[in-house]
Amino acid sequence: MGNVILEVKNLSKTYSGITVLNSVSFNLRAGEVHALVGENGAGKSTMIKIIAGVEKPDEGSEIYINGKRETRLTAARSIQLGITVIYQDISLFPNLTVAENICIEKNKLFIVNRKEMKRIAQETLDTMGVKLDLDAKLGDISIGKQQLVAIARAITFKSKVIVMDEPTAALSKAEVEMLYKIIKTVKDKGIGIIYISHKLDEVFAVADRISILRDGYMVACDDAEKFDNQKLINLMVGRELRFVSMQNEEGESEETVFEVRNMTCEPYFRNVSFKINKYEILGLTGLVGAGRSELAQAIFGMMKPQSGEIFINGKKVYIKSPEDAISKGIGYLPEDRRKQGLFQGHSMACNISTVTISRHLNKLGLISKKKELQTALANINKLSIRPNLPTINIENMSGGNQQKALFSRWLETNPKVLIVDEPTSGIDVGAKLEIHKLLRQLAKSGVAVILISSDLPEILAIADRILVMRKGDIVYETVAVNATQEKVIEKGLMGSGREIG
Amino acid sequence: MIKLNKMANNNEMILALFALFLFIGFSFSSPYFFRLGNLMQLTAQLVELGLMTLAMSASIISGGMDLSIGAMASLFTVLLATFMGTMGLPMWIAIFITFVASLLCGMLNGFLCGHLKVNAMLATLGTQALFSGLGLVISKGVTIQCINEKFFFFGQGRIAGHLPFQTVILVITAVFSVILISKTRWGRRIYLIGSNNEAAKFAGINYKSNIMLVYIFSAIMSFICAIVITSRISGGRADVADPLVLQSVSASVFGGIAITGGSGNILGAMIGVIVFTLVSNGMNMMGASQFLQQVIIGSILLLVLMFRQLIKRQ
Repeated sequence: MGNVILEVKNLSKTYSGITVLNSVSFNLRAGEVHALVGENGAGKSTMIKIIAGVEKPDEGSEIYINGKRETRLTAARSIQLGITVIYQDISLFPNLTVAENICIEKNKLFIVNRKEMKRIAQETLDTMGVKLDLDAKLGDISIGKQQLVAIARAITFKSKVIVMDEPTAALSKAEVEMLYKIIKTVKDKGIGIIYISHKLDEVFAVADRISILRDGYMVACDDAEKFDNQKLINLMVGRELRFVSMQNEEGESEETVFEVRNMTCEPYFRNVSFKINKYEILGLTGLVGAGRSELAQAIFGMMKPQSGEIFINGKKVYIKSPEDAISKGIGYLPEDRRKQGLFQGHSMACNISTVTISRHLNKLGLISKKKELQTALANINKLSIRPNLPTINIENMSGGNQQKALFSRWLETNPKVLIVDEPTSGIDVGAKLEIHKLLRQLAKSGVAVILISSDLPEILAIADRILVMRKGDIVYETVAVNATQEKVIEKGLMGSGREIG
Repeated sequence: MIKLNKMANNNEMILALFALFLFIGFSFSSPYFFRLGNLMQLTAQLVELGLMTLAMSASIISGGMDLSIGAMASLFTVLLATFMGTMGLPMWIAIFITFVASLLCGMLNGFLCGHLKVNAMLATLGTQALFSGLGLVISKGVTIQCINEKFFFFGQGRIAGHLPFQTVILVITAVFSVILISKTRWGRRIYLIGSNNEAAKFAGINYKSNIMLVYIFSAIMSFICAIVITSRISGGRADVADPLVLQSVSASVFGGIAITGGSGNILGAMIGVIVFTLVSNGMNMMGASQFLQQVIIGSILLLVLMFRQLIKRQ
């Protein structure tokens, strides 16, 4: 292990009277992966922003880079000192080519030397052991590959520190494996990596050391071997918390509440049929791009399938648009909270009443603020949304609480069928558990719940029946009690035909 | 800092105070400003920009921008003048036919922006040229006279000898629009579409029909504006409302409507109109040149935008 290249001591940060970081100490050695974990709002992002020079720390905080104290760290200075942050929503240029993106910092001359640029880009990708089309437009390649481009750029720029903020949030299983390999080569070059993730198995797979933040305090920092899953979770949330399985306890029911028959929507998926019985949660998994979200969108009327029938409580329904779907009792909590769910700049109350606005009118047919607030408050109590201010701008809430607000939006519609697409991605363990409980409650009350998730432990813990999709086909169907993680992964990667087990 | 933030939330309050400050300032610096005659004149001067700003604000809130409102209003003045002046049709029939024409123009914009999802600025840039061209063809590029005693009341009439009738038109239209945009389901939906179109789709909000209504709304506002103009100048001309388009964008933005859509409100935009009109009227009364007024209005706009940006950063 190399010497310390980045160190912070006594790091504090206060926003208008609220302390988000409290005398935090942290260091990073050359050639190590140092994982930084903690719940949403624990202070991870703030710490990274300070290291990146985007936020100023409070008086008395000390930051040392390469052993030298930096008192006035700006974003430009931070980059110059070799610190690269790869943010969650990648900060690359979608209209430029792969090569241009990799060499963006190299273009100091006015004239762009394309040959030279491509040579440098190729060299970097070679050292990483990655093959990419240098002339492809960045926006046309997958998010996983974009992530690789971001790393290549950091290497080209001779970064000494790379910060990865939830790098696998949008990656498929294969791409995650690829990322692990590359992290290893990057480490061997003597670059230090700060790795932020909610997914604990990932942390254990890549980290040499682990630091845990809770409520702005550094509660632990030690070699990765010294931790196990349960210990890490306990440290993160400060209380005992288990990933409880919550299968159906109501007993079997033969009553089918929702059914899809032979639905085809080329080129995304074909011949999909499934049933959900009363009190059941159906888990739908498979790789990203297997057609899961498209299937959900077709049921919700956002896409036009070429064929297929939908039945709710045994009655055939016709759905041409999301409005149709909503009026028939189907709700869909989309995958991308920020792009497809939230109305930023609007209040929590307004984000909750969105779909049911017609129920929030006064006698004159105008929107009643009072009714909107009442609805918001009811949901705040029911789902313990924090902060409990219906008028707060939804942008200023944490990811987990935003998700609860979006849940409320759909709960208000009293759905018969609720499709939730990656409902717990990027939110902390505590909120995850609450959402799991909520899904179970819904199923218990007779709502047909479809849970789409890439998080296998989640699917195995919550779903009663599991469907695995691969390249648009359902390749495996099983009851959860018979399912194992290995089998589900195997089917997702190479299953064909339809196996029922 | 906290104080500044609070102030930012009270955007309309600040702007209203600013308008009041201007008003008091002008009252003291010019002997002609604070007189019933001038004050009534001032309210009449608000009307045309006010109506255009209502149209512009709605389209900006929905995430677009209707650049054709000036061309539409001009075309409608030509139509009104042609029907009443040249063809001698009765007033109400002329108004009715022009109203139908305005619906058609709005539907064309709505079809392009809503159904075909053409970028709103480009689509309305195209229809702007089309409507202007139609106006020029019909009017052959000259002002068409329109002498109709009854019709003069809309843009020249005074209630009780003082209050300009067009001011009444603006007040009624503005109150109606504020309710429409901030209190109805349609209003809420265009805010949401403007804020995040993708999320609006996932919430089952129909893009086509709601956007169609936005452009029909702005066409109707242009139509009302055309009635006032035609009556005031006793005629119609194919470019008469053109300068109002960019002014209405300025007034909207000044009033706090986000150019990216989804936030701000119409009341603020109306105060923007009042500030702009106050500056221009007050400086006239002080005997300042037209050109200097432009400099002042531009500076005020820039100052407000800079101030807001500063607040945002904190």
